[in-house]
Amino acid sequence: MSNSPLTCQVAVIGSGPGGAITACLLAEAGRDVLLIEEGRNLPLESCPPFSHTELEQKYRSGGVTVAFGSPKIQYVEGCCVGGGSEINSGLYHRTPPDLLQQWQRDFKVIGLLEQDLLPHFQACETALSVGYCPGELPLASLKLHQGAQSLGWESREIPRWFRYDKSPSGELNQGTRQSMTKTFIPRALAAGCQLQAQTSVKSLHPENGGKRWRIRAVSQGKAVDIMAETVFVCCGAIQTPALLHRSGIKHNIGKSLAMHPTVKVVAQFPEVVNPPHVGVPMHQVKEFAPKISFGCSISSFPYLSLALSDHQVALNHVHTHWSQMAIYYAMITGGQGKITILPGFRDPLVQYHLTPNDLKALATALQKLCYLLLTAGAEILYPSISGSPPLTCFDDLNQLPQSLPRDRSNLMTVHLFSSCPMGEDEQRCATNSFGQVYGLKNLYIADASLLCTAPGVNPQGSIMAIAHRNALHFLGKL
Amino acid sequence: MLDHKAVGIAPDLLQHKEKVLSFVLAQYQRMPDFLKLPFGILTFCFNFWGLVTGGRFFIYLSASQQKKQIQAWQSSSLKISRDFIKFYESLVIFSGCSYV
Ligand SMILES: Cc1cc2nc3c(=O)[nH]c(=O)nc-3n(C[C@H](O)[C@H](O)[C@H](O)COP(=O)(O)OP(=O)(O)OC[C@H]3O[C@@H](n4cnc5c(N)ncnc54)[C@H](O)[C@@H]3O)c2cc1C
Repeated sequence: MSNSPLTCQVAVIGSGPGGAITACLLAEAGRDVLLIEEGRNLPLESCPPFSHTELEQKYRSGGVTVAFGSPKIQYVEGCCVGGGSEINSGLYHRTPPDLLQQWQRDFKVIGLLEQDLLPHFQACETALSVGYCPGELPLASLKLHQGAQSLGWESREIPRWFRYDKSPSGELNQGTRQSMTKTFIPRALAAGCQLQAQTSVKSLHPENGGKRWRIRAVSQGKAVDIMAETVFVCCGAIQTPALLHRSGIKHNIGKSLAMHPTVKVVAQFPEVVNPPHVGVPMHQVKEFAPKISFGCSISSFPYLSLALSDHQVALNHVHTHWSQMAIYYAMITGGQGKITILPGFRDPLVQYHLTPNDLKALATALQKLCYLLLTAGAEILYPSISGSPPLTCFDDLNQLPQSLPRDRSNLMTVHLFSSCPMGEDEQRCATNSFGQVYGLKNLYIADASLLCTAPGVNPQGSIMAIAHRNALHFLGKL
Repeated sequence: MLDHKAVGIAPDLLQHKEKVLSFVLAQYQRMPDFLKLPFGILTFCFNFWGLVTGGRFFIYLSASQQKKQIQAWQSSSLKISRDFIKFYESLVIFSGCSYV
């Protein structure tokens, strides 16, 4: 690689799961790769997980990001080397096989059925040590599982990308999340990939009749130009369409954003379910999947207080009762959004629309979740609907609305995708079945944007396997 | 200037007022650029509202007057006022609890 302007064969923009895997496989195949990342290059251990320091260090806009609509939906994205993998819970799912069939049917995606993806799932699972928790499972998570079992609903422990090493005395440690900075990024660097952190790409410009790209970026306050023969855009489901729009590339880009709108409820149990320093909850209820799933969230004291901010009385006693409380969620697939660049502003405007049916589905999901939690022995439930009374018995469930109120519901999500869907249906898709942007030979997308629709499961497993497959296809190895 | 009675949370959550304030200000700086200006204007209006209703800028009102103003904005029919309070309240609660 030479200086001014920097040149490389392949520029990978964004170092989340999509970008890290792409950069790693291309570097290992001998390509001259530059991995460009807007956020800082920090070790996984730079801050306690799920802390306010993590928000400051590793989240985009400090986590203060919202999709506008009625209701609005708060979302978060990672912004650091490793992207979302550095801040997430590590819950792993393969893409549901029937969903892959649906993508083949509706988007004309080729070569992406279960058997096509299997080797890529397996490669990522090995690289990230995906497996079940060998130690004691968090009580709050077990409560969800027990409630579901009593009702005969399908519930299971979800595997995670955690590695458990033994101490010299032979005991297993708490486990270390196998984020990108623990796995594919060190591998990429060892294979000669260069990493340029704290460098935000502003726009892409074709040169030489489209044979190479000029990448306009800002690195720690200074404008830099980078020349690359091929560019992979891996900035995540919001920032990838934003960058492409800023570069004048718009065909089916940023118009079909999907997410998993999520409603939460805090449950208080008579006994301790949430002792200090408890690990990530890992059970999910899949009885009503793919439309509806339930799970348990990180329930630290600050997150519990935040979740109870609509319930003044509970907020007053959370500091004495928080070990009896945990946050549970119900997520649905539904709604659609778009990403727009406002003239003169850097950050994209995200809008998301939920239909009346989506709001009904959310209300049904919340009702079922509350029913499960009461069955599991919860004494009080605090749904995240402003002005909603606490629920203490099964009869109280009738007080829950039949459809979530647009003006009082506090929704959030950590799962964003589908803003640049892939497939051979050029009318509907932004890229071909392997991530190549239509009409531009040497421009690819490799991140959550490619998923044709909301998967209904935690998405990183799908993002990684698809990035793995597409990188090998690019290298002619498939 | 930032009193637990005004914000309506337990006193020990505001033990580290300085840290909470700097977190809130830093989060404001980090928010998406197109939101900063409207929020800056709203913050100014909120402060000014104290002058209109209580004879002093919000930051100089007594804790009970501050609480009244917060509650008025919280229960306002204008969604933007409710969202504004919710934004700051969330940051204060989250950081206050983080520093305990
Ligand atoms: C709190 C949280 C918990 C989650 N839990 C789970 C879970 O348990 N299981 C699961 O499967 N998924 C989970 N997810 C979702 C998962 O982390 C994401 O789906 C995944 O990280 C998306 O990968 P990506 O490669 O598409 O993009 P990202 O991970 O978002 O990475 C994109 C990267 O690109 C960088 N970037 C953006 N724009 C630019 C630019 N212009 N120039 C340079 N760099 C840029 C960003 O800073 C970022 O680092 C969670 C997410 C969050 C936030």
